[in-house]
Amino acid sequence: MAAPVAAEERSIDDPVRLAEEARENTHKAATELRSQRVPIEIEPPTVFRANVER
Amino acid sequence: MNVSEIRFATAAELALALRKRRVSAVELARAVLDLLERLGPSYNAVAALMPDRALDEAARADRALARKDGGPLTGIPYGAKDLLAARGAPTTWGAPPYRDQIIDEDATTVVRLGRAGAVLAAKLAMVELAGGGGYRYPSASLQGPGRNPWNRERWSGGSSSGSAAALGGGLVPFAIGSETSGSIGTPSAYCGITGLRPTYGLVSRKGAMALSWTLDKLGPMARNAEDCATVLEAIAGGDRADPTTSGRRFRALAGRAAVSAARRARIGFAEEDVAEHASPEAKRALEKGVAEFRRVAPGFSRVALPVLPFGPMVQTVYGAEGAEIFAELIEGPRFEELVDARQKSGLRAALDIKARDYLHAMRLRARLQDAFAEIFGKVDAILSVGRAITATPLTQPLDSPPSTASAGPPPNKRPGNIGLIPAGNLAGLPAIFFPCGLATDGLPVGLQLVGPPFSEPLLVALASAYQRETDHHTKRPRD
Repeated sequence: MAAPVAAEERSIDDPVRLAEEARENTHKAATELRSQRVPIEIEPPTVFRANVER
Repeated sequence: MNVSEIRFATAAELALALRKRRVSAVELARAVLDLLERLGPSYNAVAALMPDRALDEAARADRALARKDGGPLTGIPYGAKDLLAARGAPTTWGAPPYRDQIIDEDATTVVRLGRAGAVLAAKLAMVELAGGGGYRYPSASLQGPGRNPWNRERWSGGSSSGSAAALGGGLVPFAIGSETSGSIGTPSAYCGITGLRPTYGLVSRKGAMALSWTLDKLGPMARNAEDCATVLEAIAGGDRADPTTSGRRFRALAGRAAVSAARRARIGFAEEDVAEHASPEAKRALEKGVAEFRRVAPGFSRVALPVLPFGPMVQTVYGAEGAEIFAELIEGPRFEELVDARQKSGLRAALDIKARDYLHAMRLRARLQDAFAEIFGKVDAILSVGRAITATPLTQPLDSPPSTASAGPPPNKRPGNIGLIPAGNLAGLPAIFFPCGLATDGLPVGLQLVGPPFSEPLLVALASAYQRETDHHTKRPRD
C-alpha cells in the first residue's frame, strides 16, 4: 500500500514555497512553449529592422 | 454646475458646460480635486493629488476658453496612472522602492494632453510595477488594494486599479491607463467603465514605466467610447522620443460613416465564451449584452482563436523583458520592500527565463499574428466577454482559481476566444472594453471588441453604436 501523501503544511505565502512554485511555473511555461514547433523551413525572416533614420 | 452634476458627467458634457460658461475650468478643477481628496481614499484610487499644477493648467484653460480657443479637452480634468512621469508629483510605479522617485519631466502623453488643454488633477494608483512578477493579492500596491466603487470589498482590477476606481466612482471624467496584458481591460470590466487599448505603437510610451517593451500600451479610460476617442485623438501619433511609435494618427469616424460602418461590420464570436466560461453571476448579463450587441451589428459569424499557449507566451515575454528591466532592483537592497511575496518570487524566477524560451515565444507571436490576419480576412472585429467573472473579493488570491487576464482557459472547456486578452496583446491589436450590465451580485460586467491593427475607428464606432442603444455605461454605483 502506498504511503499517504503528507498534507502541505506551509502557508501559501511561504517564501520558500513561492520560490519553488515560481521556478516550476517558469519550467512549465517553457515546456508548453517548446511543445509548439515553429518549422524553420518556412518561417519568415525575423522582425528586427534597421533604423533607417539614424 | 454643482458637484453632483459634475461628478458623473462625461468629458463631452463638461466641455459643453465650459463653453456655455456654466462652469469655469478652475471651478471644475477644484470640484474634481475635492472629489479625489474626499472619496479617493475610499477606493485607494489616488497616488498623489496635484492641486497646484491642476489649478495652474485650469487657469490657462479658462484664458483659452475666454479667447474662444481650445478643443474638446480644454479645461477637462483627468488622472494619470502613476507609471507616467509628470512634473509636480512623485512617480512611484505603485511600488514602495520607488515611493520617493521624482522624474522631473512629463511623459509624452501628459505633454499631449496638456497641449490639448486637459488638466492633470492626480496621479492614480496602480499595482506595483504593473504586476509583472505575477502578484497574488489585490493589495500588491503602495496605495493598498484598489477598491471597487460598486462594492468596496471587491477589487477594482489591475494593474490600472486607481484609474478604473476613480472613473467608476465618478471622481474624474477620464484617466490614462496602461496595458501589458489586461491592465486596461480587467479594471474597465470590473468597474463598469469604457477602456480603449490602442494598437501597439499608436501611442508614445516615452516617460512611462516599461514592464515589457514589446507589449506595453497606454490608453484612455472614460465613461463612454466617444470620450475614449477624444482622448485617443489627443495622445496618438508618432514621437521621435519613442522609436516604437508607428507614426499613425487616430481620427474617429464621423456621424453617418460611423453608423454605417457599425451596421455593416462583420463580427466574429464564439458562443462558448459566455455559455461555458461565464460565472453563474455574470452569465445572464453577458448573454443579454451579446444579444443587444447583435441588434446593433447583426453580421455575426463564428470565429475562434487558434490553440496556442497564450498564457505561457505572454508570461514568458513580459517575464523576461520585465526581469531585465528591473534586474537592478531585483538584485538590489530595496527589492524586499515590494508588497507582494508572489510578485517577488515571480520576478526573481523570471531572471532565469532562458533566451531560447523568450525567442520561441516571440516566434509564436509571429504565428499568432498570421492567424489573426486570417481571421480578420473573414470578420472586421471579434466580440468576446471583457472578463467572464465579476470583480473578485479583495482577500481572494488571484491565482486560486486563476483570475488574472494572463491565465489560460480551464482544460475541460472549449477555449473559444476566452484567451483574447493575452492573444490580442501578443499580436499588438487594439481593443475596446465597455459595460453591458450588472451581474446578479450587483457588479458590472462588460464586453470587448478586438480588431486588426489600427482599427480603432471601427471599434469606437461599434461601441458608440451599442452605447447609443443601451444605458449600461450610464449606471452609477451607490456611495
